[in-house]
Amino acid sequence: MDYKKIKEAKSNIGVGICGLLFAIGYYLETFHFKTNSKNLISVAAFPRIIGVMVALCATVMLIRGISAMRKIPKDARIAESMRAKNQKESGLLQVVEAIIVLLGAASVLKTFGFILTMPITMFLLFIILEKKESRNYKLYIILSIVAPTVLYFVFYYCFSSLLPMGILKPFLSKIL
Amino acid sequence: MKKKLLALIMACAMFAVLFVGCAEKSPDTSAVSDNSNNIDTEKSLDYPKLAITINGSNSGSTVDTNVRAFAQILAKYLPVNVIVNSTASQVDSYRDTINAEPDGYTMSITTANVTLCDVQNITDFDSIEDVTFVGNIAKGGGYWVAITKDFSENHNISTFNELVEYSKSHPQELNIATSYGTLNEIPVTSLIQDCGIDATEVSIGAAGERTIAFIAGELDIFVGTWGSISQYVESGDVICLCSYGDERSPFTPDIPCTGELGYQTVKCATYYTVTMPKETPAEIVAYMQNILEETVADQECIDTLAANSTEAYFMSGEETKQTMSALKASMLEMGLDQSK
Amino acid sequence: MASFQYFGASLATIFSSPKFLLLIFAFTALGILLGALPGVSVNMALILSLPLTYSMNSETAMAVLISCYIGALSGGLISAITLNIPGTTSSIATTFDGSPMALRGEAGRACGIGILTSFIGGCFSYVLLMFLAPLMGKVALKFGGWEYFAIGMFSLAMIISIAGDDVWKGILASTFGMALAMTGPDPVSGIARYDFGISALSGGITTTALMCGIFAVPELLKLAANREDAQAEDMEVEKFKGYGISARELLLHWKNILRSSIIGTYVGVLPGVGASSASLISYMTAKNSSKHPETFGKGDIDGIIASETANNACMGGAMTPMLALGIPGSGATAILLSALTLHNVQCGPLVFTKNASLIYFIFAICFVSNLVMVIVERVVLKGYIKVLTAPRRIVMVFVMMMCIIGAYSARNSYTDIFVFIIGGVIGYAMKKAGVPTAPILLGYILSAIIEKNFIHAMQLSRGNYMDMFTRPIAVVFLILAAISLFDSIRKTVKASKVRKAAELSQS
Repeated sequence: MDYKKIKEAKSNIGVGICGLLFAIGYYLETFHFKTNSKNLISVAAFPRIIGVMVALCATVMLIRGISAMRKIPKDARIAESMRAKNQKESGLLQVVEAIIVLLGAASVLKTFGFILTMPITMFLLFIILEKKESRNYKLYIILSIVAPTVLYFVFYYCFSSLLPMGILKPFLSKIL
Repeated sequence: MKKKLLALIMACAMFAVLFVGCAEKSPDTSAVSDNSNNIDTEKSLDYPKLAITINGSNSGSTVDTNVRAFAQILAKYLPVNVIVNSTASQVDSYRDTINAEPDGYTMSITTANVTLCDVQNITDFDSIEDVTFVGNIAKGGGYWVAITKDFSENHNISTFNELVEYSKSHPQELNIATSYGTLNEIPVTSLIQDCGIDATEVSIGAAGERTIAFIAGELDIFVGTWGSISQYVESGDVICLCSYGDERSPFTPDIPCTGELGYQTVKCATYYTVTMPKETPAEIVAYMQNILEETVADQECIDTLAANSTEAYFMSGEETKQTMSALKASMLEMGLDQSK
Repeated sequence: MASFQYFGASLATIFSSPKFLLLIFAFTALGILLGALPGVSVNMALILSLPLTYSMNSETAMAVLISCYIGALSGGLISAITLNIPGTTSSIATTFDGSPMALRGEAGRACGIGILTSFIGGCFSYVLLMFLAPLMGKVALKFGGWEYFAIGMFSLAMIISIAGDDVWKGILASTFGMALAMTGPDPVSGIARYDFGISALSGGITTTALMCGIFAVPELLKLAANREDAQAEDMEVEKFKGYGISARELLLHWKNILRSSIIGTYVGVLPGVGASSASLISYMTAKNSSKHPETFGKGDIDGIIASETANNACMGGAMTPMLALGIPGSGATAILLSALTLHNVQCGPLVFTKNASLIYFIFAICFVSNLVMVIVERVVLKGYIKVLTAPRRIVMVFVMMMCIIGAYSARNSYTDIFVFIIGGVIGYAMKKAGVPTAPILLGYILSAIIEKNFIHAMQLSRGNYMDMFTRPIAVVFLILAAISLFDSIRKTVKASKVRKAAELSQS
């Protein structure tokens, strides 16, 4: 039971610190806004109010987290830290991999285009989401190639929506 | 079994209709094959080969509606599809074009709203020098000055001159609708500076919101498009005092204009300019300019734009650039560069 | 009466014409498909269908667009329930109870109830639209800047209650959402805020990218984190008959249905407020009126009924200012209005006399599309559920692809894809920290209403904010907001006391 409370307290402290940092940066940025002399209410007014509200909430979370931690006996806190150290957070690696794949796809989408980027992205995500022993590589390859290609042409021909062509532009310009 | 069959029949019917719809958008080469100019240029240029993308404005706006309608007719004169992209704003549309490849496949159709944002330092580009002007395709319907029937009866005002006199005798009491960062700001500023209306400017963003506030009685003086108030004028809830400009509008020939009432106002027409990236080859620009001229002369284009109180009006790329430069200069002269 | 004659004639035209029936059927189905896909919003569904209408006459164009709109509005509930990712912003409140129901195997029943109540809400608002549109239009004129500001504050206070026992986490999430909404142009002067020199951000963050990010990415990351226990993520779906609810059982909820229909219709009448606010207000009202409010958020069908009835009722309401005043009430009605204008139909107070036959034809289309929606959506529901409840790992990868398309297609911006991903990562981190994420999106949506209308109202009252207290409608909503907030704080304190007492008694 203490472990749950400690985890919640730690979360509150983490959220509080992140929230405060965000609020400070958010507030400070308002001093870089351009101004318009005709505006009755300053362009920065609402952002500043919101920045203060975020800071207030973050401070409350931080205070709650710290006071909750203080109430927990020191021994329990030490025991929980040891337990957390020994217990590897399972799945964190896969989460990081998935984020990297998504960010990578977003980065190269313009250069390589939708038809090249999405199959690789999908295939990698399929791999990340499935245990090694349960993977069906053939299915993943088929789905990864067919789905984005079909969708690309459906969006172009039926909805007049052109998805990124990337390096395939000379080839696609002949067939579209 | 029956349910599956019914579902299958319905699915087939659905896809049949969808494909009919999709087929309607295939490039119509018959119009192009009659146009020898296109074929000649096409042969030497090897353009266009790919769908042309036009960056419009935010979906549902008057500009976006006009751009989409125009694009549909433009597609008749091109051997390729024309795709219209809605963007968050005309400034975004302009910027997307500036940053696009100068290959003739991306262009924007925007209004002088972008120039105004440039003057007000809202943009990170120069609206005149950072693009190539291909031409102008339309002129917006102009602006009208109106008051509600209740306001007219309560203050005994039935002409524009009476409104001006009333505002002078009650300085800053009246609310006049404007919208900072949009072209609407120009006629409102000119009415205040040049016609002598002494009222408080209230900036309300979208035309619909301005109209609601006006009809609800929160705004005293409405300055906006004819389409926003035409039905209310017809029903008698709104009285249109005058149109803005030196000449009467062809859409309202019975309503006097500020020019004939003796007021010298800043020229402000909503030009629909077509721009391409700065480094676009001159041959491509020339080709597209010809196509635009043909499209603007098309009766369907004239009628479709007129339905939205917009006049089909062609100017060449060079003329357009000169007009927009002059407009930018007059905006600076009016002191519209408020943002620092 | 002439109106009945026009309406009758329109119905006869539709039912006697295979072309209209086929178009309504096809585009309602298309709308449902697009609405059910995360990443494709209602507005996008209309924009995608708009080019098809240019060569059509006004009746046919309206049949296409309205059918697509009704389908998309209702289709959002399918992914909201089965994937916990709302297909449209108006289905956000549906996820609160739809997803828990799906997790316990009742996805089909939840969807069936949502479809049926969407139909009822839609019919209610179309009847009101048909008979009372000019009158309802006058209601919209009573609402000015202060009133909209007050409604925004009231909705914000209600969001905080969604956070459950901990009001501070709810406030934090909603203010974070409001902070994100400040990105982009200032509503009055257009000056860009928080763009950090990135030109794409000077236009703001799109709702689609943020919504997909906050709902879809955490689901994917959760699957990645629980890779070793993957089978637990696959969904079982119990068999269900009809719409998953009997007529008798549905009648037991008549109060909720009626109240939600009224809320949806009247919130829809107010331009700029939107279906997402309508479904949220309806949901919270249902929760507060319920004898067992603690069951909300855990799979109570009243939550689904409230949300889905209101968001479809909103459509009839949103068409009121469009037709009666010539003013679009939402992005979708702006597109419908532009289509009408292109076909030479000027909406406004005279439209019921000058274009009566077309207007009643539009009403008839609404009813017929609504009927087609309830049938078609039920027919395809089994297929959808089968697809969406396939191995979740496969489905989520496809959902990611659709979300990337949706985030990009909104304004052809690569930055929006980054917003989608980063928003999702933040959403996942917040979920792990126990902070609810739905308030982020709702705070984001409400921020624009609150700021813009506050500034307008202050301009009109020459900077005198006390003017707000002279407007009865605004005062009522502000009082309701204060009550709602006070109630949330009271519940948080009470829950904290109960927890402490339980701990003391344990020790």
